[in-house]
Amino acid sequence: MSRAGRALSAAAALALATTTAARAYAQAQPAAEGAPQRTIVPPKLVHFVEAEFPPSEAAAGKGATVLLQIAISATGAVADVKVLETAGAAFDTAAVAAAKQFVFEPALVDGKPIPVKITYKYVFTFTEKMVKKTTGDFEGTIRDRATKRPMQDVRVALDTGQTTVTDPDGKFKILDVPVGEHTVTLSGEHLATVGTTEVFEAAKRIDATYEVEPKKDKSNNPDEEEEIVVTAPRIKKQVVSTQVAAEQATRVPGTQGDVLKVVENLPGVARSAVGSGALVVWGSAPNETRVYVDGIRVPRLYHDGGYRSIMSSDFVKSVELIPGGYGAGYGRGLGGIVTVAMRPLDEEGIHGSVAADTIDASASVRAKVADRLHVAIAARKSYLDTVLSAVTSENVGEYVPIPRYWDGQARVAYELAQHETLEIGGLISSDRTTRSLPNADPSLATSQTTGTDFNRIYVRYEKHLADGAIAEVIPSFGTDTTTLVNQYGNTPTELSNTTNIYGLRADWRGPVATFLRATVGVDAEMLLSNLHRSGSIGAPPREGDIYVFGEPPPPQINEDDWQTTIASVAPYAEGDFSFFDDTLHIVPGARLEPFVTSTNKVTPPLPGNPPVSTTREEQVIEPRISVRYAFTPEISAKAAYGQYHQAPQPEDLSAIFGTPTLALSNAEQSLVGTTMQMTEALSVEVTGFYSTMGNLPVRSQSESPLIAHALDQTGIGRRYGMQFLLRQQKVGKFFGWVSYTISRSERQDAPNLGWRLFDYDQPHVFTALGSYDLGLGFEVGARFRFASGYPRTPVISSYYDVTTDTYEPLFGAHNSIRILAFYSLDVRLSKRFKIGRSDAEVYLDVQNVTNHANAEEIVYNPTFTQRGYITGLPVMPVLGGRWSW
Amino acid sequence: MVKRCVAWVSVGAVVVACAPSLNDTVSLVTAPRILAVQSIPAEAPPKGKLNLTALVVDENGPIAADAIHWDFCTARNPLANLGPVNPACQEDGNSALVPIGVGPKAAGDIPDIACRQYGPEVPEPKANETPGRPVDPDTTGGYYQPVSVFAPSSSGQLVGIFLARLSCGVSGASPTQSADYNSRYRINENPQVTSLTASGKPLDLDTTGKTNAVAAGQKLQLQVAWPVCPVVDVCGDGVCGPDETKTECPKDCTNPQGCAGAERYVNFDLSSATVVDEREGIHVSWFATGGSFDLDRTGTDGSDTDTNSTNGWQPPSQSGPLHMWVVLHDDRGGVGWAGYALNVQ
Repeated sequence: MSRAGRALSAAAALALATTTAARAYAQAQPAAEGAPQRTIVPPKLVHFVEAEFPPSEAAAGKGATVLLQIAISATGAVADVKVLETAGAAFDTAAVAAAKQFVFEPALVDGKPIPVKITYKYVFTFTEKMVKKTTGDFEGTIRDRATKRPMQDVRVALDTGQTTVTDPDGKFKILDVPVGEHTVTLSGEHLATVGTTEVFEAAKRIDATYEVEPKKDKSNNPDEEEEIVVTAPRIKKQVVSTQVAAEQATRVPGTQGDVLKVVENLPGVARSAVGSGALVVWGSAPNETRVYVDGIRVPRLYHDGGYRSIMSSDFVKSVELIPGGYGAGYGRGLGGIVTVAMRPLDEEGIHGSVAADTIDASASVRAKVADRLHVAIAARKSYLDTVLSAVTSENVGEYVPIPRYWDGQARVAYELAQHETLEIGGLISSDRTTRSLPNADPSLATSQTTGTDFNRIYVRYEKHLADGAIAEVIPSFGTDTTTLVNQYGNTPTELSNTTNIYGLRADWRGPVATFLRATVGVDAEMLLSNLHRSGSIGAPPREGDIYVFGEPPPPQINEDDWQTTIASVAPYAEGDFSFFDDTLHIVPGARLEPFVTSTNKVTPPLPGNPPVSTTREEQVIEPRISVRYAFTPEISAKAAYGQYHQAPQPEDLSAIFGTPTLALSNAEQSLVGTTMQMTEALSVEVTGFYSTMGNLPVRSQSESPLIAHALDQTGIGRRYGMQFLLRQQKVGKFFGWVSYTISRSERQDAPNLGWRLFDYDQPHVFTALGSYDLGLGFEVGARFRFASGYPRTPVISSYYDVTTDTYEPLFGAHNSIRILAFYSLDVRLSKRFKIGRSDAEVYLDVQNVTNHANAEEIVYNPTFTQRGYITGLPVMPVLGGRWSW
Repeated sequence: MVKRCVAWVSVGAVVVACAPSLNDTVSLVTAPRILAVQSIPAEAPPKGKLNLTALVVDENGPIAADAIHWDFCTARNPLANLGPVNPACQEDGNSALVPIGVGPKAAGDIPDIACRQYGPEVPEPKANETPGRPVDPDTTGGYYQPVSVFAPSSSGQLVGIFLARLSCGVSGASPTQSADYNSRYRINENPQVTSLTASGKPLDLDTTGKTNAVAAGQKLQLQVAWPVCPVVDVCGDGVCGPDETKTECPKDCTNPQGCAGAERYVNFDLSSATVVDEREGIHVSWFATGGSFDLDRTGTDGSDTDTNSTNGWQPPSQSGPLHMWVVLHDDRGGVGWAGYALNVQ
């Protein structure tokens, strides 16, 4: 089942109720004429009873008068009541019932009580009164997903027992739904029962549109999964974000069925350099954008080379990219965030898949093993290096790294109670890349080996409360290990980092008032790192370094082993205030985050002397605010502002290769934009952004840097631009989008230096993609991409190093030229079919069908008198298959 | 050179990634060039005298280098610059340059602050600043004084940077280790070409005035050799090794001589923080004014005990004179060369 969203009605805090404000008039009959004078005292009403205004008459909104005859006994009690002039059965009944309870002082004749009969006008007066509604209302429309036509006679049922059936217009309405989360079930003659959940709030109306796929045949296949899609505008919690459901993401050309690879096609994401798989979002560095899987931070989204993501697509429900301006719930990064939502484990039976293509093979299994217990496991391993070794003797990794990777995930979910789950899970991933270029002169031989491993173990407790709130606690633990071993001739470079990471996220989010939803929580993280670095003091290169591809690293070497601790605990709070019938949302938030950064060596210790550690404490308050206003249901505007901080990288805290006393880097992000829903499935979104950064660590520019100050924190940055997204949700047979980002990202490394382009600046990134269902299980898709090349620093001259018999480049203006622009057309063709009760798919995913030789890097001849481009990854067909059940 | 491509097969289709075809042959001399600079001694302490010689050639052979001017460069290299020297060192006339001579040869005294400027000693602090960071050694434990060489030529000014090795001691070692290092370290000796053979036939040096005849178009297998250096210390072998002392072997160590091949030397290993024995590699640069070599560079590393290196050379198909040079570099910055006059027939 999938949901596209739902809409809450405008705050209708008013509910009408009625109360009776009946006034009665008693009229006694006059005495007869001509009789001897006697003392007559009429009866006196001493106890009046107010009649209940008939609820059935309240809708009319008006009162009435009932004329009664009341028989009063000598004791003053009412003996009988008759209706003389009716005002309708309801009013009559109410008046009679009240009158029978009247108490009188009896009538007196010459001081003696006597029974009498009187006529009595009982007047009902209608008065409106405001009361607070304590329930919600539910209404909406059911439509055929493919044809968009309304569906009649669909039964809509709530787990409260309230039900209704759609009318010929496909509409339904259920009033007075108790507050809280309820299961909504849709069923009908031509519809397999499907369900979803909605959260009802007091005095609010949910207006939902559901699109379902009617049953196509009478096979009554119980394993055929019906899907429910909610297409009414959803509430967006983030000002700018792009979310893609897993089912759609797997069909995007170029992803080879890998859900998370769709992120590369989203607006705001630059095209990564070949072989890197790094995420560059809105001109920020890869290490400034953080990746989360269900609230657990992971160090990367893709394996080396960018061929695959680190998680099985069968585990992914959706992926969301927030390129900037995100709320108070996240921090510790100056760029954006990518959040991966794992699919809930709630399926009946056993499901799984096996897939293989040219690059790797994977498998997954999900099963309900007991009444409330679900398990799931997935694994993947690459074999591209083995395939290449078998078919060619060429050193294929010379220009493009050929990665070796594997990953695995495991989850166990137990339903403690309805809407309360406990999940234990783990993620593991490993990457190895090796390149070598032998040479007849050992001083020119090069080799490189990299390794990146990470693992996470987590526990997730989640409880959905009756009032619609959600409480969640996620402790996690893991280890990140990275290794780099380079050799250029006699100059080595080694860098290893083993970090134990402890994380804790706990939050509560739910309604506080009719106009306010709040989120409060705490986000804690501690990194304990052990690092070793030896070899060239200038390798690996940093952003901002001026060098050419293949250039030997500086021959000066050193060595250091150090430990760091970086910890922070961030309580945060955020409130979503809605006004004017839910058209205006103001979301202020704040994050209070004390950081502690500790290194065991503040300076290189003298031989025989113990090291002296240093600890730095900084406390930051990060205000965040976003505003969304819906001018109409179709047109909305948004704006956001936030302050962000990021701790230094452990690798930069070396007393020899870095600066142990680095402080936090900071950023301010602003964005403004608008969204127009042109049709129910077609939308256009335009967002402008501006961000400044400060306290960025850069290499010391000094000819005589201080000890333990290889890095200075004098770098500042700025990035600005606009992104456009025209998106067509799946309508009938087609879905797709067009995205374009124009931006500029700059850095200034020292006050005496001018602004220069950021190494990852990519001013134009254009992506257009679409997928079309041809029918009979065939689907075709295409993707066109255009991206500006990364900036590079030109070599304008050279001099000869006679000692090493090499030429050394002399550079022009920093990052003043660019690699040639990239463009590529990718095509995907797939065929789905049934094998018994299981599904199979075969696909051919061809990247760069035009075989355009895209430039990936600038290279020079040894004397730097000629310049050319390395072109890589031309047409790359990937044939794959997938079988799932 | 042919466009280099690597190929693999994927689903029946061949996919390739390619490097451009650039002229990356540096062994062919077609214009004036500085091929090498040698300092004698190959290593010296501050205040020590260096005698510098340059090999400057063009497509017609060696050329007179009377107008070369030599400078010591006094600009330290910032950490932000990934090149071997401060870019100021290659700017003729830069204030960071201290002239030491003009002509094909020059002699100069290494500045007395060289080990503070370019070595492990704490550098001179700037006014109102704390002392800065010493320079880090290379993998051989070496520190170097940049020497700028400017040679006017018919094709414009040639700029070369020579790194003269400094004797500055060791950094990061304990006093005991420093003492051990200082007692056992032997300064570098320039490598020397002992012979060059072409398909087994020795070639005469151009200094003899003789011309070597070679057949046009007939490929030759060249082999350059250098002296054999002892892998273990033997008193009386003429080389004062790391484990020999003046007391124990006065014959070799009274006036210590190095070896013009792949020498053994001591180094301070940063990983183990110990003084270790190492051995030089020899790297061979091949140059000629005609024909083509199989490889521009060949050589050995420290684990290779060969005392020679081979290369193929295809003479031009047209007859005529040409020149050939073989330049040896050792790991510690030592340089030696030999030149040959050839006549293609």
